[in-house]
Parts: sequence; C-alpha cells; structure tokens
Amino acid sequence: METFDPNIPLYQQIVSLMKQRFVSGVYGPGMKIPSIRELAMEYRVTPNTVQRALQLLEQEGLIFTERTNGKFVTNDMQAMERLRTDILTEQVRNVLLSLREHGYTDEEIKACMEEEMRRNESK
Amino acid sequence: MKANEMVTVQSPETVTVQSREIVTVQSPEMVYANGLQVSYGRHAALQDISFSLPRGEIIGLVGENGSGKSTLMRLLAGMIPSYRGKVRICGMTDLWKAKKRVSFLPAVPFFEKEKNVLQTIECFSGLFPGYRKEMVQTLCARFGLSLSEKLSAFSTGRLALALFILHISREADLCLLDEPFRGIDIKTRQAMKDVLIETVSPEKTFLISTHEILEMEPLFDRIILLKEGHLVFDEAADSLRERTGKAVAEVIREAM
Amino acid sequence: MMKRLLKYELGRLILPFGILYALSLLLSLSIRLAGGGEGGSLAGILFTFLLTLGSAGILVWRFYQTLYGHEAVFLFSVPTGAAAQIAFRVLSALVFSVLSGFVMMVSSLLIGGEPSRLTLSLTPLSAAVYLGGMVLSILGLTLELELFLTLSGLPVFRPRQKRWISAFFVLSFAADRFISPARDRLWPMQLILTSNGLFFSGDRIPADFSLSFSLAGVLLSLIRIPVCILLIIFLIRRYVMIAE
Repeated sequence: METFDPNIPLYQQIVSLMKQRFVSGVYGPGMKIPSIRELAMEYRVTPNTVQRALQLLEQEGLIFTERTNGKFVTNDMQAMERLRTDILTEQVRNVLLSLREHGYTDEEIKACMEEEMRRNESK
Repeated sequence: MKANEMVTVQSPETVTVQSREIVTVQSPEMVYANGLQVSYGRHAALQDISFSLPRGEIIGLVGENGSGKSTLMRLLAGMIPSYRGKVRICGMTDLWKAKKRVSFLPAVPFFEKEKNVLQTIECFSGLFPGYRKEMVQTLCARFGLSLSEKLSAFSTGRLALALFILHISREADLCLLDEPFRGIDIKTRQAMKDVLIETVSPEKTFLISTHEILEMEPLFDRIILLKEGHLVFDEAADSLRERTGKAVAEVIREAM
Repeated sequence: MMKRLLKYELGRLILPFGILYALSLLLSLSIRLAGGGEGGSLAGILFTFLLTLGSAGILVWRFYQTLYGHEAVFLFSVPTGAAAQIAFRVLSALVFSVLSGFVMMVSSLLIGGEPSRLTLSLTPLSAAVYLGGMVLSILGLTLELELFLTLSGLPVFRPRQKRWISAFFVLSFAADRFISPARDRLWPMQLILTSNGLFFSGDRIPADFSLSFSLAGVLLSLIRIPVCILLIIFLIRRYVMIAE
C-alpha cells in the first residue's frame, strides 16, 4: 500500500508510480493495464484521480486506449527508452542537487558512487 | 439540435429554445445550491451557502462542530423544509421528490436491535425501491459480517460497517454520509474506504463529512470547508495541492 | 406500496400495546377475583380511562419518537411525501384504537358483575357505536397531542421553549380529558343504549341533554380528526425540521 505525500497533487504521484512500473517491467510494452477501478482500489485513491493520471499518461504517449478492450502500455520502444532516460536523468538530477546543497564536491560524489557500486556488485 | 437530444448546459436558466423541437435539459451537476440559509430560531446554522456538486465525485465536507455540516446534510436529505435560497438535486427543486435519489446515513443511524442483517435487508428493500439485496450479502460475506446474528450483538466497528453497507446499497445518486468514520477502528475504516471506492460510479456523488481529514485526504476529489455556517472554500483536492503546495489538511488547519 | 411503512409501524406498536392489553386483562381478572365486579360500573369507567389514555399515550409517544428521535431521520428518508408519512401513522393508530375497543369489551366481560352484564346485553349496533366512540376518543386525543407536538417542532422555537410548550399542552389536554371525557364521548352512546332498552349506570346520565347536542358532539369529533391530520401534513411538509 502506498503512502502518498499529501503536499503534492495525487494524480501526479500516480503518474510517477505508473511510470516506475512501465520502466521496471511490471507493465511491459503492449501489456494491458488494470482498469481504473482496480487501480483505484489498489492505490486507495478515487477513480477520478486515477482517470486523470491515465489521461496524462495517454497525452504523453505512454499508454493508448483500445475502445472495447481497455488501456494498454505503448509498444513504441522509443517512447519507453525516452521514459527510462527521463526518469534516470530526473533522479540523478535530484540527488546531485541535494548533495551539492549539502556542500559535497562533484569528486566526492563520484568517488562515493563508484565505491557503493563496487560494494553492491560483490554481494 | 435534434428532437429528444440530451443537452447538458452550464446553468439551466440560460437555455433559450428557438425551435419547436422537444429538448431535454439535464443539469450536469448533482447538487446546485445558491444562497442557502437555515436558522434554528435566532441561531443561523447556514448563511449564504452556494456551491455546486458535480456528478461522479467523492466530496469531503469539513468543518468544526457547529459549523453547519450536519445541517447542510439534513437539508440535502430533505429533512429541513424551511430554508431560504435555492437548491436543486438532480435538477429537482422539490426535495421531497428528490428523496428517491438521495440516501442519508446520519452520525447516529437508527436500526432495530432485535433484527439481524437479513431481516434488516428485508425491511429496507420494502421501504426503499430498487434496493440491492445481493450487494449487501456479497459485501457482508467479504468482510465476514454475520447475516443471521442480531445487530445488538455486533461490536461498534462491525455495526458501523454493517450499517454503512446497508445504506450504501440503496439505489441512490447522492449518498450523504455524516461522519461515518467517527470512533471506528483502523481496520474497519480501511474496509469502508475499499467499499466506497468500489461503489463509486460516474452517476453517483458522495458527500462525506469527517474530522479525520488527514487520513481521508486521498479519498476526496473535492473539499468543502464550512466555518460558522459560512462556506470558506469549495475546491478540487488536487488543484488545492497544486495551488498552495500544501496538504489539504494543512490548508484546512490554516483556514480555521 | 408505501403501506410497507404501515406494516413497519404496526410491527413496532405490537409490543407496547401487547403489554397494555395484557395488563388490562390481568387487572380485570384480578378485580373479578377480588370480588370487585359487583361494585358497579366504576371499574368499567376506570378501564375506559386506562385504555383510552394508555392507547393515546403509546401512540403519541411513538409519534414523538418518530418525529424527534433517530428513528425520525430514518423514516423521513423513505421516499414518500408528507401525506404518506402521516397516513401510515393515522392508519396504525386506527387499527390499534379498534383493538383497544375490543380489549375494553373483553375486560368488561372479565370483570364480571355489572360491566359484564352491560357488555353482554349490547346489541351489534350499540357495540359498533361503543367501539366507534372509543376509536374517536383515542384518535381525537392522539391527533390533538400530535398536532401540538408538531407545532412545537417548528424552527421558530428554541429547544428549551419547545419542551415547555410540549409539556404545557400535554398536561392541559390530559387534565381536560380527565375531567370531562366520558360525558362528552358517551352521551350519544347513552342515548342509543337507553333507546335500545338497556340501562347504563345512573350517576353518569346528566340531568338534561338534547339529541342535537349529542350529535353535535359526534360531528365535532369527526371534524376535528381530519383537520388535525391535514394541519400536521401541512406543517411537516412546509416547516418542521426533522432534527435531533
């Protein structure tokens, strides 16, 4: 069950969550996504919020509606790649911003990143 | 416009029909209220309340005790015939007639203690046309509520859930719930929330008054805040968050 | 179809009336066993009072519950008009008024002695008149009290004022009924009973009365009841707030 940040519009948070699922493969390309009602129950938000989120995703070209069958993740691999890159860039940007504000230099950040990656590999 | 074509307009008063064809005008909103005033003797419970409740939304009604929440709900339920101002429910001005389409679960609901759920279903289906018996039975089965045990034997939480299910299964477009979550344990609240989300449909509107705004925030499409009988704001939850960058509960706390 | 409301209300009234009737029958039995049956029709009068006031009391109490209590909110959320809301209440009152009349007769029989003899000697017409009078009594009293309860529910009054108003009217009507009920109600019946060759306990027949006066009394009762009903419907439809 998700706990939402009450300061940010819910539909935006749903959009982010859905994007995560596209990228991680939970909803792979061409897969059918659950109905609005099912998503609403899963996230414990109102169906209207889910609908708004899905509308946004459709506008961004990440999902499409098939009249009688429901909504599907796009097959457009380019769009998916763009999404993956966008998410990565955004996350890295946020982390960099935050660490720089703390006063760390880029060299410190890079060194720590490499160290952590090495540590995770040996697991 | 063709004959018998359904037209949705913003404000029914501004429609001018030029041709001689029959046009059905359906108001887009579930509830339209303008300048509502209710007084108990000299005490003004509601003053100049105007709002519009769209169809298919879950709306939270928030405010301190005595701010007029219950009064507003009772008015919409048709329990207060002596009000000033205009109100329309499903386009109907006669609130007695509108009761067909309105269900009301008060803060302290009435029930016959000696009956069990099945008998209460029978009673309700006789009194309320179009009552959905199977829905009650399905939901009760899902949450493990006994159909044959007397209601007097139910614990507070399960009783509240049972009554909630019983009232929500009425065939109504406007569901008024007056503090349904008060004094209820977390598990039952989750159950109620689930039932609520399941029952939502584009034709139904829920107006729910509550104090637990922080917990219930994600459930509301729209928030109406009342203070001392006045309407402070009536806004969509997400637009409130976008505009102020704050949680709804925070905005409400500041406004009070 | 909204007479399902009637069925509901009848179901809710069975218990209190059952208790009233059981008490009444037990009391009449015990009077008989205590040998009080020969003590004249004082017992009969007592039972008229008991059952009339008891029935009206139960009905008015029930009306109060369904107008001011939690049950009121429930019943008024049933999608019917104001007329149907009163109709089922009046009809259920009618049903139990008739039943009370019958229980009155049975009690009289059980007491034995003069009341019993009197009851047994009633012709069908007199019995009908007797029952009719009983029903008019109960209904009239009930509806007048219900009307005043409704009036006191108007939003112009504050809750404390409402309670004083209700108390005042309840007391004044009870007093009025205690002082002069039998005389007003029973006149037409005495007339018919005596003309059928039956006699009624001597001390209740007034020194003089005229047929027209008695009939006027009946007419007044018959008019009062619909007027009360219409007024209550009007008030509920326009003004009375169903609130706790």
